[in-house]
Amino acid sequence: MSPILGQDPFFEFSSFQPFSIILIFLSLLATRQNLTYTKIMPIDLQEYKELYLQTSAKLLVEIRSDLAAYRGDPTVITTLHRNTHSLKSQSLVMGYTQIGLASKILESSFKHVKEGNLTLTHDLQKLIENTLTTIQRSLADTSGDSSEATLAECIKQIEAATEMRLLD
Amino acid sequence: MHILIADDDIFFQKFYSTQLTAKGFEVEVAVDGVDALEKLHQKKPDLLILDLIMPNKDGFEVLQELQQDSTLKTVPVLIFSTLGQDSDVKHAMDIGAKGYVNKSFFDLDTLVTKINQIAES
Repeated sequence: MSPILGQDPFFEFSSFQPFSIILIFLSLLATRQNLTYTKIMPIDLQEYKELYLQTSAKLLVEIRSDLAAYRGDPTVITTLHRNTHSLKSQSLVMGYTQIGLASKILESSFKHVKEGNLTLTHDLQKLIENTLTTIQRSLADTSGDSSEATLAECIKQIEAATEMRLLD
Repeated sequence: MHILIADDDIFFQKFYSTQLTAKGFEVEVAVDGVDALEKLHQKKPDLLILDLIMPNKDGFEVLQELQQDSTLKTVPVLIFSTLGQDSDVKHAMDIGAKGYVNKSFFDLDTLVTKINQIAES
């Protein structure tokens, strides 16, 4: 793992299985949050689902388009960073942890490209495109009654390609 | 209490304004940093809830401008953070924010408590 990008001391002791530990922790957190919704605050997240599906679909279209158009323009990478940040945030609040975490690794990748710590190679671009396709498929599944699919493999591939860890 | 929420994300604009309005707050929404500063000058809110990653002017720029404005620097600011933004939050607190809330792990009671605490402090 990269000593440049792995600056958080949390990862020093968890480097043997960072992804699994983080995923378990966040899943537990998400589960606890869902329990909170039902026990303390009966907020009907269903009423926001349509809005979420609309806004996330729009974000995905913009991210794809900007990624395809990216030729090193800093304003494009800033927009990519911001839009993946938005996709992550709204997915997590809706309880779609997998999409949220996959968006998080994309957001981190774009942040590091923006800061000059990572190069957006052709291979990395392809991996990101594949992840976006998987997220899109997962969103289509969740628009029905299906639960979201795991995106662990996409996250692991980007972690490996960028030598980055999920919460960097 | 009049709250200004500055967030470019349509989902969060609607989500948080609906929830806080239902709790009796008067909520106004700004769509980016420039809009936030315009609305702050038009009507000084009791509290600003500020996202950090926004187009045009981001949350850090808004915080810096607030600190340099003698009229607006007294407006308490609550940061909207999310997963993986620890260093951003620390920086925002260093330049004038009074508190933060993780917008992705929603807990209305905690948010309302924080709003009241910060507005009264």
